[in-house]
Amino acid sequence: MNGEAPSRIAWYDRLQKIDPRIIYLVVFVLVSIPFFVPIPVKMEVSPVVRKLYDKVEEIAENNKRGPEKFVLLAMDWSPSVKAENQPQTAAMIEHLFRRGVRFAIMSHLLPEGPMMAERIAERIAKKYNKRYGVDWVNFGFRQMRFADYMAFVRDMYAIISKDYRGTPIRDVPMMKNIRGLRDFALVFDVTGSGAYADWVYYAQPEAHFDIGVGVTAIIGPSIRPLIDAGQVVGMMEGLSGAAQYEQLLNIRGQASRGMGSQNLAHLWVIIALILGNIGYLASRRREKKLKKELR
Amino acid sequence: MPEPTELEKKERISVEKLVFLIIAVLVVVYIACDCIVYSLRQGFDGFWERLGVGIGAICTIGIYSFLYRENPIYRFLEHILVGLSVGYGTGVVWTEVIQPQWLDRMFGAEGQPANYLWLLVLIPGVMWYFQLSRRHVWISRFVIMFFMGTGAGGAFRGTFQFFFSERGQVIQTFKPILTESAGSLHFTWLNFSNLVFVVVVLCVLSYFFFTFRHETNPVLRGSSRLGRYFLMVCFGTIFGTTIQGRMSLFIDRLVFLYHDWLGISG
Amino acid sequence: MRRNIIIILTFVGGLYYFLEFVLPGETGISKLIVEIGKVTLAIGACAFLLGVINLLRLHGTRVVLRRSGWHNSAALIVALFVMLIVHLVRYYSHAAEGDTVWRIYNLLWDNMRVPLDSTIFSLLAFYIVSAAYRSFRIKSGEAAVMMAAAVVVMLGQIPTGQEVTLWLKGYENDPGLWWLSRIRVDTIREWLMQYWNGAAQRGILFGAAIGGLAMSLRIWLSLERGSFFDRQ
Repeated sequence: MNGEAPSRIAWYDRLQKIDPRIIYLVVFVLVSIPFFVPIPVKMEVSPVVRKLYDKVEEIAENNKRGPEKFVLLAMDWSPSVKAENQPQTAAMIEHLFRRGVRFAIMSHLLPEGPMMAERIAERIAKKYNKRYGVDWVNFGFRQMRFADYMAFVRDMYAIISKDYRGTPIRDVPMMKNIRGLRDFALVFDVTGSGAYADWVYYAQPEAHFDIGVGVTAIIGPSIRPLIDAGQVVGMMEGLSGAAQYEQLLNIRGQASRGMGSQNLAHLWVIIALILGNIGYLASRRREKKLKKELR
Repeated sequence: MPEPTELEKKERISVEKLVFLIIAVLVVVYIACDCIVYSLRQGFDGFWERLGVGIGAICTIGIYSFLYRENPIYRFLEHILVGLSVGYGTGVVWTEVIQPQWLDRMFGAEGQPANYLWLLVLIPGVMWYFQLSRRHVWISRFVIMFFMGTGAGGAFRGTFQFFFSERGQVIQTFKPILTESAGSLHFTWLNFSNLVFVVVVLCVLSYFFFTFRHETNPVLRGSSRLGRYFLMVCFGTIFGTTIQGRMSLFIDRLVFLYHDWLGISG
Repeated sequence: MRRNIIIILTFVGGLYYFLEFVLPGETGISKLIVEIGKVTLAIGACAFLLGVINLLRLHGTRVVLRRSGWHNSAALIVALFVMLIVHLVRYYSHAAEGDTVWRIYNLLWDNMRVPLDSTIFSLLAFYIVSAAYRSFRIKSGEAAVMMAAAVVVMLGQIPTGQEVTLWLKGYENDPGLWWLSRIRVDTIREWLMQYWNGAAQRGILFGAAIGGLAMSLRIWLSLERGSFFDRQ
């Protein structure tokens, strides 16, 4: 038996050293709660989401009066960002089907996007009695570097010879009304990376369409200068952007259901930040006090 | 606190293995029961669907086991993912690019006449693979540098169109800081926001401006210091949105586990 | 000699697109852009096996020599070929929904690829919370500004945060107190994102664009040094 007193960890040091597994467990519990106790959420719709919604409404209205314009869904996303990009895609497709605006799906960067978007389109098409080839078409994946991309911008049919199902593209009924990219009034790029850059840099100046984006929340801040300049007309930013769009459509989709969990998770992150900093500031104050006493 | 002895470490590891084993057995038993129940209700279709969901659940839980500790199950599933991704990517490039854009043009398909000049594409096409040879890697540089050259040439177009077109970034930075209305000038909230915008852009630009020394130039020193603070606001907003982005990924997985696998609807 | 050919190829490749941009359309130089694009698409696609060969070399060696973790490498190779073969069979046999090939493809895609990919990325949710907790400390004024901005953005993007100040929306049309409606958390968030963050991002874009343009010029004129550009 020794005569040493047991060492005590100060409260401010404990606050800074909570076991990471406890942090993970709290995240898991908080995010799980809304699955058992549904939390109804209503969000304020941000101006950038509203502008995107209004753009689609404008296209639908213009189509009633003048020559038909289409929407191109650039599905440059993969399963790794499915959590945010899938609800965005679903919300946009729902809106397009509801308003009778015909669209095409494609990707020039990631092979998975068109396939995942096709599944979503097929599911929602049943609700609105829409048919493939008549109300929408899927160009599939066309891997394009700069040179091929410029050819695509100038003459779409030079690069798109078959659709996703292997049908010659000119045989798809919807394509009879599409001569090139200029027949698209809006390109809605859904991406978890910088894929929108190609559309903004190279395609928009040539074909003069508007661009809307559905991006992961991480990329959202970098789109703001483009929205300010008018190069991008509107944006769904992360899950909250998709939830706001669903609210405008009056549907409770995957995004809206996920916002309850987002709520609690964000509050926990803020609490964790505050706890860590209270511990840090208190330990710094203690150190300063000790230094003063030593002098 | 004293270090655990070898015996204590061995006991802890065997407890961990036991816990992993119990969880694995529970998951497998649940999936088996689920498949049996659905096969009785909906036949083979039901069985196959639930088997698929069960395999998805195993993949999900197996990856999450990494949060506790690196383990062989996680490693195995990680390798499976890489294999599936590369296999899928390769297959898609063949069926959606090479088949329709090259082979069909070369051999003719669905009304298109054959054009054997497309065979010449093989010459630069094969050059890519000389990257794998240490002795002949210089051959691959012909095709790599040609593509890099086209990209570099295209950068001029992209940059000038992006920054200097009518909707360009440079043009749109010139914002009105006064509004004219009924013959007089007003300073509205929008004008104030525009002023903030222009000041922030100039300060951030001055932070990255190294032609003159910041220490000797008081204007540059002040503006670059302000620029630093504005950049911190920018990074703070990025952090805030990153939290949302990352949480969404986890929420999606919980939707799958609770809703699709366990049938809990929230 | 080799280096000169590479320099010429790089320059010609870039020159065409540069001239195509700067010269007027009447010169006819733009007519070739579509044909060049078709050919470059096919040439670029030919590289599709590079990744597969590299993976097979690395993991195949591990399997053959029975190095540590060889069973993982074997699983990788098996998964690669199974996915590739099933994809090709499904495409060329025009498999319909409900066919065996279709079922297997969906199992591999929906029930393995998608869960694995999404779950690996979702691990980041835990790591960002623990990283924010452990390392985000207010050690200076700049860190304080960053944290304040982060907290405002986080509160403004969740329903609870928006609810706290939603009552201020009623003052929007009040002639004297209209400014109260501007200090709602979601409005401040939107204002910060658009006017502060947007402006800073634009400043960063300008700097990056100048750097990118300089780099492009160096590559185009083969002034760059590095493994692709130097003599072997």
